[in-house]
Amino acid sequence: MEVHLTVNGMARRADVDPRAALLDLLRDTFGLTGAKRGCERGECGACTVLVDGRPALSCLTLAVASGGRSVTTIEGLGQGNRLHPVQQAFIDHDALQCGFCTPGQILCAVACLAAGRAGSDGEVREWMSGNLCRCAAYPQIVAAVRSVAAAAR
Amino acid sequence: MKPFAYRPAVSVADAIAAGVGDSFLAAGTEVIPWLRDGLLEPTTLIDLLPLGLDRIERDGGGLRIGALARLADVAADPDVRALAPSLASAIDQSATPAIRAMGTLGGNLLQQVRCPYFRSGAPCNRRLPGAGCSVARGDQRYAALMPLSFHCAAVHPSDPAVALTALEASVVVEGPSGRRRIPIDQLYPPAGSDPGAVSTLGPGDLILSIEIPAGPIALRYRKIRDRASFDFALVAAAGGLRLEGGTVAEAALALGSVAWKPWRCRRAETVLVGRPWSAGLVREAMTVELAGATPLAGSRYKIELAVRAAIAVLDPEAVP
Repeated sequence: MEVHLTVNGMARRADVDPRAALLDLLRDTFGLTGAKRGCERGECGACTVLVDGRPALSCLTLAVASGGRSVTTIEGLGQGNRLHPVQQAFIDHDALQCGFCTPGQILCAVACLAAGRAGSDGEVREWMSGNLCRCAAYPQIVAAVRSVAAAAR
Repeated sequence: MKPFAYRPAVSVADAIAAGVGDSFLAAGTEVIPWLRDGLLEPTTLIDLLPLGLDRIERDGGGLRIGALARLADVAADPDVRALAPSLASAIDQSATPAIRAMGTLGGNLLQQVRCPYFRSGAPCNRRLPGAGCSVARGDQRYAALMPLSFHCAAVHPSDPAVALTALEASVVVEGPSGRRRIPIDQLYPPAGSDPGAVSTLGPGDLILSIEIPAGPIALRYRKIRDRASFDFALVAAAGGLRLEGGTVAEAALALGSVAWKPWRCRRAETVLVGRPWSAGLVREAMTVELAGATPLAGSRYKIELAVRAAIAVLDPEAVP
């Protein structure tokens, strides 16, 4: 079936199998492999993207039901070669090791900051609890998110 | 996953007509895992989200919440936070921000169970009638105090449903035979039912809205779980009371994760009303409420958790 949506600011169209997840469309059709295929059941957060500005699990979203939506992936977060402040903060705070969970962590962090829910370490931990990090970089992730919140004040 | 077709609904009437033979899709946070696990094999998925049905509005002194309102929007709504803080709290303690941003309130009420054996491939009567229940000789920590029947000891996993039960909410359902209001307690199958069904809704039945009546008591929600975030309840309680000179004038209490449905504690409420409030009174009331419980060896601990959760939400001195 045909679907029209906006991905990282660009109008895109694709023919999709109704069974395909938004994650499949992003990775396999559009080549945007930042969003990761982890548990495929909404438990790990590696596939997190923004849909209409809100955090969404692209593994639990049907591509065919995403018509008219605006999707932001890690590839579309920065501007040209300039990193998004959350991306820079993850580098500055060493908030990743293997990097597999990092795109999902960063997009969830962007949503957390946009919602104004990065006021304390506990609030960040609660907001980011759906994004698992097998390397356990959690303290550095919290520090990175908090630093962006502090800089914005 | 078997092939299926997809079609957006164009109207409520269209969805109901199609839903008699096909399956509904809302956010997909529940239905997509059903498809992957083979729990649902639709010929066509009817997408309900184009219908809207997401308004949150005051209704007299109460609230009317569209069935497709997203959980995060319900919890953030100023009217919900003012009139039904227990519902907002229950949602805030559910799942994760991404799932709350996606999932709908109506869909949340119609979840399947999270029993560790339901999706594991081990024998499960809910999955395959007559297969047997693995809980009897397995992990019983999550099992019910009041099971659906001898055949299934799974508990209902929804937090919002527990708050809505204490709030005496109803769901407005439209289906092939017209529109009706169902008290939330009757949205779930009665004791002794076959374990397969998640609700009493029939083919084509569509929840339009959830209605919360005006209530004089501000209720609270307490969730007890293994992890501080992103976990289902071991036991939850929603409740509150109104005191007149230290005596309980009115009480409302519901428990979560102790039965196949949210468990309204009518017997406990009856014990409480007319007596001077004390934690000991709540313990006495819960002893009456849970007298008929049939816990397994591994779920007996939930009785004490339930008592303490009830005290926590009913204590007038506690910080909300």
